[in-house]
Order: sequence, then structure tokens, then C-alpha cells
Amino acid sequence: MSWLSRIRRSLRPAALIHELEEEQSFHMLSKADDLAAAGASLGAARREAELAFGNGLSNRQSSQEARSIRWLTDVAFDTRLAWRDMLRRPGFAAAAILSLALGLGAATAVFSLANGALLRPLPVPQADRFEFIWRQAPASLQMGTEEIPWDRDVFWKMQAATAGPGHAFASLGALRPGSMNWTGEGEPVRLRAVLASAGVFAALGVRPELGRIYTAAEDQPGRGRVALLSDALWRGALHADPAIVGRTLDLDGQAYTVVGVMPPEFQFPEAAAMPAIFAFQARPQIWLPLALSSGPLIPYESAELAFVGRLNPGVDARQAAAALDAFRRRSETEQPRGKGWFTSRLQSLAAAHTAGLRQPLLLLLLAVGLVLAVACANVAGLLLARALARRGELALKAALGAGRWRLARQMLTETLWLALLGGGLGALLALATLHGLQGLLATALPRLSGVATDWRVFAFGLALILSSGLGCALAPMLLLRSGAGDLRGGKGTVSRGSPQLRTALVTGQVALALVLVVAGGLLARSLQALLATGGGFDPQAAVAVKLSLPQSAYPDWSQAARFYQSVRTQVARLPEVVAVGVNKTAPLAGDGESTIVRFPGRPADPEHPAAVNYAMISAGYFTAVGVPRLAGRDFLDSDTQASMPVAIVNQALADKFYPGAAAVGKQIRIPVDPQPRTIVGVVANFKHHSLSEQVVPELYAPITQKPWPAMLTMSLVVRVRGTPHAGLPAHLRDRIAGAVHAVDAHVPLSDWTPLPQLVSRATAPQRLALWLVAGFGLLTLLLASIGLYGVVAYIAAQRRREFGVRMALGASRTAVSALVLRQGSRLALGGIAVGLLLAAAAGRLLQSYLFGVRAWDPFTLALAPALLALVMLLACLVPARRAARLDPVETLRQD
Amino acid sequence: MSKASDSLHDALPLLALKILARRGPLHGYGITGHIQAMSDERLRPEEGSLYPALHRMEEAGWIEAEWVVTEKKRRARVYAITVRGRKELEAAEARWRSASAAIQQVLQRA
Repeated sequence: MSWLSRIRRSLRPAALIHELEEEQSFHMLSKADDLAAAGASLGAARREAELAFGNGLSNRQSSQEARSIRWLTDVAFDTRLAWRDMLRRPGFAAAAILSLALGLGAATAVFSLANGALLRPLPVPQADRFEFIWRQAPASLQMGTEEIPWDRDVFWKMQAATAGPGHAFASLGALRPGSMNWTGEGEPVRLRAVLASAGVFAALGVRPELGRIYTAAEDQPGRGRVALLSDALWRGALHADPAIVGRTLDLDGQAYTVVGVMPPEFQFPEAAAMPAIFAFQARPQIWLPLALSSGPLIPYESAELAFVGRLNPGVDARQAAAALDAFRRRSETEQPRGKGWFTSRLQSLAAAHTAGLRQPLLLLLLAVGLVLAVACANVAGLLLARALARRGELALKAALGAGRWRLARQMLTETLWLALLGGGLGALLALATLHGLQGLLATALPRLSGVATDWRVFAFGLALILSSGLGCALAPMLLLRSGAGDLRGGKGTVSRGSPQLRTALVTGQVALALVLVVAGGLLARSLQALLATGGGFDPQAAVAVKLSLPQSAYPDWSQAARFYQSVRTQVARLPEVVAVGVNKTAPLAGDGESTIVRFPGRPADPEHPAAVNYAMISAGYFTAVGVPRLAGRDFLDSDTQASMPVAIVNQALADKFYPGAAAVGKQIRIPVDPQPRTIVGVVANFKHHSLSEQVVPELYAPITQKPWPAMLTMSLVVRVRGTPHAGLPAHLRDRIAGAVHAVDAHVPLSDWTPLPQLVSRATAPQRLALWLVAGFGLLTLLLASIGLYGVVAYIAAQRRREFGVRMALGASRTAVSALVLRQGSRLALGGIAVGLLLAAAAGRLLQSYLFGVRAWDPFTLALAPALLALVMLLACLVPARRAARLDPVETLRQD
Repeated sequence: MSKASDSLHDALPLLALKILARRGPLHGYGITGHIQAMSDERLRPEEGSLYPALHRMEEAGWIEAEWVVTEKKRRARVYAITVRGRKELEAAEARWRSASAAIQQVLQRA
């Protein structure tokens, strides 16, 4: 209570002072009364009473210090002064607050992005001791990916050699992506599943929010009919059933018992952090035992595994890597043919979480730092100009006894208030911007479940506000030190010292603005180049949809192949459909298989085996996707197991392995196939992961000829007649679904994706970077032009008298404008020159984000300075015109 | 101002507390009067300096204050000692006695 009243008295000191005065005067009046009663005259009694009382003012000050908080009183006083000043010059205040709002808002927005991605803790305890064990592809293979999946039999050997008490890992686990058809409540639903051994959960050490984790005993072949649910699945489709544990779900025709529900933040593995070769899907909905068997591979079993483990206490990553290397050497001795296939690399979950995000976010933070610096320079320039204009007032205050510290404190308070208001406005701007970018953010940075605005963002914003306030106040405070206490500086004299400071500020601003404009230009040119390159297919008027077959109804691959053939026939019958085909994944949707191929008649080179991507597709696929056929024919319905084995290759394969010769008619062999395949066609290259990827050789076999274990989930691509860019009309979608369901009513269709959307998804990171950097570039350009305008206008105002003299002596109005313009352009050109040097350095940082354009791109480096020069010229025009309109007589009469 | 008043400055809070403890609630002018009267006019502190001392004790919670209206229809601020103030008075008196005894002893033996 006493503190509260002290604070109240500090904020409203007048009431306290009044009270103190009243108490003192009571004392003196009473004393005077007593003296008068003792016989003194009224006047003498008063004088005597005052004399005995001593120094009333200094005693009041001591009391005030005791009963209130001195610095708070000072701050409140300075604040009132600052607000009065701001209201008196609303233009100045608005310019300063807006500058800071733009800078601080941009910085806060980017920080909250970085916070969500880098700083928020993972929902896994000690994520830096949970390791992914990635298998490394032999260097000679050039598969386009460094990480490749492990085989099932390696898991048992590695576990025996490296896990357990006294070994490197406390527990080792294996997992792979999967998906399940869930039936039982109306339409079958496709669930994003993860098949994980019990060891994965032992290594993770995460507790479920309901129930329990499945045990090692349940993770056995023939058992394992248990499931862990994601919080989202439980709360959504299962209506947060409180009795969910123990309930059974019908998955792919089998009854699974739910044993637990994982907490909401648990999303393991994060698809975006996994190498693309693993087709993990974002936000898994269900975790099932992997039930890894031993012995030979069985049909339909995908053995493509990722390994994870938790380090034993006291073991570090280096020791674990050494243990894995010992395992590699032993394995290579035991299996000489497997040489090179046991190399592994460790990556902690913490590192995987931020891999690929840290660098772009740091770059963005750097960019936003530049914006903030320019904004602060702007405000510093404004404050400096005002301090100069208030020189007389400051000198007067100093002469009346205000210390330099007192004046500096006053300026600081004012700047901090500007920064606080700017920061508040900036926070609103940041929220609005992030909201506007949400769609793009979600595709470009899928690892952000949302932009995290928590206490860290708040603390960062506040720290930024305080430091930018301090930074801005620095310039005018320097001015104070250089002798504002000089009353003699009359209006006629031009002060030289301070314009230098402002000139330096403006040069810096222009330079930084140029850096960002160049960066934005380079990114724009990259995006343009990317889009011009394209994915190698024609996305217009085509749509992809996922079909998932329940394993129980399609126990062998030929039934699955027959299903897809019938679907093709049914869908092709629709009058709107131009072409239809199936593949494992749609173009640019990631995922792929690869294999080693041999060429009959050529000697095999065991040191450099020929690795190619390969895929099983149906006839009509290339037409449906819009990939041009360059030679030969498409697959036909007559390509069956009874006919000659055939293959189609892409141009990259033809160019690499049959340079200067026709590939059609040649033979190529996949080692597991009984016979070589005859190449019957060559198609153009197209892309699978990103528009900027390096195209690799590719081989296609028809689904009607090749056993294909992963054929349960395929992507159906349909090209329709004249569909608008926006997507497929709902009725057409229903008719395609109807055609599929005419073949099998129990097959769910999911993930309808128009192909143009795949392209825009693939360029989302580039578009996000472009939006942000170009946005920052325009912001700084605006801020810098305001800064330049301020300086030029100020200098022009200082030279009014000189201009008047010149005009009186016969100088034309154009000549006077030219003087102002020349001064402005000298500043702008200086800034541009410095900026070009900085941009050259910054371009190197950007290198890895550029595609089809060099960091030293002549087009950008010519256009950006030209744009900057134009904007700066516009900024100088206003003061130049004002100078031209001067009345020489008027200016000479002043002063 | 005499030397006696100077050294008085440190003792002022002690005297004020003692008077408030013995005589009940008083305003500042009343306290001054009691100090002067009881010291046979030998202690005459600068009257104004009593108030910062009172205000510091008030903030420390040793005394509390209240505005009252006197018989002459003037508003006066009246101070009363609190429980904490009495404890402080005890401690301060003990300190003072022990210090003055020590000073006395040095003066005698020197």
C-alpha cells in the first residue's frame, strides 16, 4: 500500500508539494500566533517565525524525496514534457513513430518466425541426445541424395552391436512411413501412419497424454495389433472419446486396439526434417508397431527404414559415431560385397529440427536488421534536425542552470516514448503482416505449426524498442556535448558540424536501402528463372488424386495392377477427360525410388555402378501430366507379363548412357528382374522435388509388367478438357470419384491437388523470401528517401540567405533549384556507391538462394541503383522547388 | 546556529519518537515546542528540519499521520507513534545511551 501511494505521489507531485506547503505554513502561522500572543507585533512575529523555520524549499525537497520516488517523478515530468512536444509538432512525431513502427514491426515479425522455428523447445526431452542414424549412399552412386534407407537385417545387427548397457546407445529403434484405411464410420478414411518399433518410443522418452506406449512384446510379427493416436485424430474424428483407450479401430480390415493418445505437440517424425527419400507425411495421425521380422523379405514388405537412437548417459555423439564406424568395418569384413553400404552419419533431433531453417532465418534477421538500422537513422536525423532548431531553447535552459545530463535525459525520455509508440504500432503491423502471409508461410515453412508469439517475442520487442530509442537519441546527445550551451549561435550562421553527422546518416541509409533492393532484385530474377524453367511438365488443366487400396482386399500386386487398369478405362470414358495415368507420386510431390542398372553387352564397372531413379507407371501417365514424348511410344495395354519386358527412359538417361545414339530399341537391366527390358520410348525430363533440382537419369516400367510392392497407394493424374486454372469443378471431381468407385467402392480418394498448385507449392520458399526481402527493400527505400528529403530540406533552409543573395545578384530560379538538387544527388550518389560495394558482399551471402542468376547480375546491379537514384531525385525535388520559389527580398530582410 | 543544534540533527528522530510515545499524537509544531520546553530552551533545532525527519519515519512505518482541524479552524497534520515505532524507539534509546555513556567515559579518562 505504502508503495502504491509513493508511486501515486511520484506521478502527481503537485498534490504532495501542496500538502507539504500547507504543513509548513501551519507551523509558521501557529508560531507567529504564539509570538504575537506573547506581545510581538504581527509583522515581527511573522518574520521571527519564518527565520526560526529555516529553508522551507530545501526541507520540502527532502520530504518529497522521502515520500515519493525521485526518478519516477523525473520520468513523469519528462514524459509530460515529451508528450506536450509531440502534440505540438504532430508531423515530426508522426514521421518518427511511423519510421520506427515499420522498422520495429518488421524486426518483430521476423523474430517471431525465427522464434517458432529455432528457439521453441522440442516436445522431446534432451533432443540433442536423440540421434537419427542416416545411412550414407556410396559416393560413386551419385543418386542425388546423401541419405538412403536401411535394410531390415542391418537393424538387428546394429542393435546387437551398438545398443544396450555399456554400448553407445541406450536404445535403438526403426521406423518407416505408412498409411492405413480406417473403416467403420461411414466413408473409408486414409490415415497418415508411422510404423515405429517400440525402441523408437523408448529412445524418444515422451509420455502419452492418455493410456500407455505399446510394449516391445506387442512389437512382434504376428502381434502388434495396437495403435497410438495423435491428439488431433482423437479430438477430431474420434470426438475426444474419453473411453478411447481399449477401443478397437478397423484399419485395413484388421482390428487394432488403441493403447494411448500422444500429446498435442508430439509430431514425430517431422516430415519436413526427414530426407525426401523417406515419404513421411506431415502431422502423423497414428503410430503402429513396426513388428520387424527377421528372415527373407516378403512380398509387399517395404524394408526402407530410418534408424534412431538415444545416446547412453556419458556417451557423446563422437563416441557413438566411432561405435557405428566399428560396426561398419565389421560388417564390411563379414560381407565384402556390401562394401560402402554401411556408412552412417549421426544427426541429433535438435539439429534436424533446425537444419535448413537456421540459415534462411538468420539471413532474414540480417535483412530486417538493416531495415531497423535505416529506420533508426531516420529518427536520429529527425531528432538531430529538431535539436538544431531548438538550439536557442536548449542554450537558454542550460544558461538557466539545467545540467547537460538533465537536457540529455529529457531527449532520451522523448525518444523512448517515440520508440514505445512506434514499437506498439509496429507490433500491430507485424501481426497483420504475418496474418496476411499465413498461407504462404504454411507452405514455405511447414515446420512452423504457427508463428510463435510468446514471452520471448515480447522481451525481444521491448529490448529492441529500448535499444533503438537509445540509438536514436545518441545523435542529438552528441550535439549537446559539442556545445549547445552557446547562446551566441544566431540564426544567420550556418552550423557546419552537425550536417556532417546527418550526411553520414543519410549516406548509410541510401547504401543499406540499395543492398536490400539489390537482394530483392536478385531473388525476383531467380524466381523468374525458376518459373521459366518450370517442372518439365504442363500443369494446366490436370489434377492429381491419391488412391489407397486396402491391403486385405488386394493381397497381391497383379490384383492391384488390374484395379488401376480398370480405373484408367472407367475414368477415360468420361467425356471431359483427355488423358489419365497413375504413378507412385505426382510430379514435384517428392518421393522416389532408385536402382542400379546394367547394360547387356557392356562390361559392368563395380567401382562406378550406374544408378538411376525408377518408377512403375501406367500407360497414359506422361500425356496426363503433360510430359512430351521425344521418341518411340508410350506403354500399351498390350504390354503384359506375357509380352516382351519394356521400359521408357527420360532424356537425361538417354543422354548419359547412349550419347549420340538412339536409346529406343536398346536393352537395359534392373538386377532383380529376370530379363533385360527393351527401351521403347524416350520422354523429356521432369522434376520431382523442386524446380531447381538437378535432373537425374530415370527409368520407367509399366505397372502391368513389374511386381511393385508399394503399389497400394498411387497417384492418379487426370488431364481434362479446358479446365480453368483455378481447379477442377466439383461435379467433375464427383464424376472421377464415381468412376473409381465403380471399380471398387471401398477405395478412398484423398489429396485432390491441381497440378499448378504443386508448382506454386514447390516455389513457396522462394516466393516467401522474395516477398519479405522485396518488402523490406521497399520499406528501406521509403525510409531512406524520407531521410534524404529531411537533410536536403534542412540544408536548403539553412542556405536561404545565400540563395537570396544569389538571386539578387542575377542567378535564375532554375540555377538555385539546381544547387539544391546537386547537393541532394551528391549525397544519394555517395550512398549508392557505398551500397554497391555492400551489395557485392551481400550477394555472396545470397548465393545459395539464387537460381539461374549470378550474385553479380549486371541487370539487377544496373536497375537497382537507377531505381534508387530516381526515388532520391523525387525526394530532392520538393526542397529544390521550394528554393526556386524563394523571394530574394524577403530572405534578405529576415534577420 | 549553534554546535548543539548541529549534533541535534541526528538525535531529532529519537526525540520526536520519544515525545510522541509519551505525550500521544502531536503536530510538528507541538513536537518542536516540547523539545524546546523540555530542554529548557537549550535545544533549538532549525524548526523546518523536523519535517523531513518526520516524513522519513512515516515512510518507515514508525509513525502515522492524519490531517485534523484545530480549534482555530486550521488544518494540521498530526502524528502518532505505531507499534513498530515503539520497538524502534526502544532500540534507538538503548543505542543512544550506550553511545553517550561511551563518549562520557572517553571524556573522563582522556
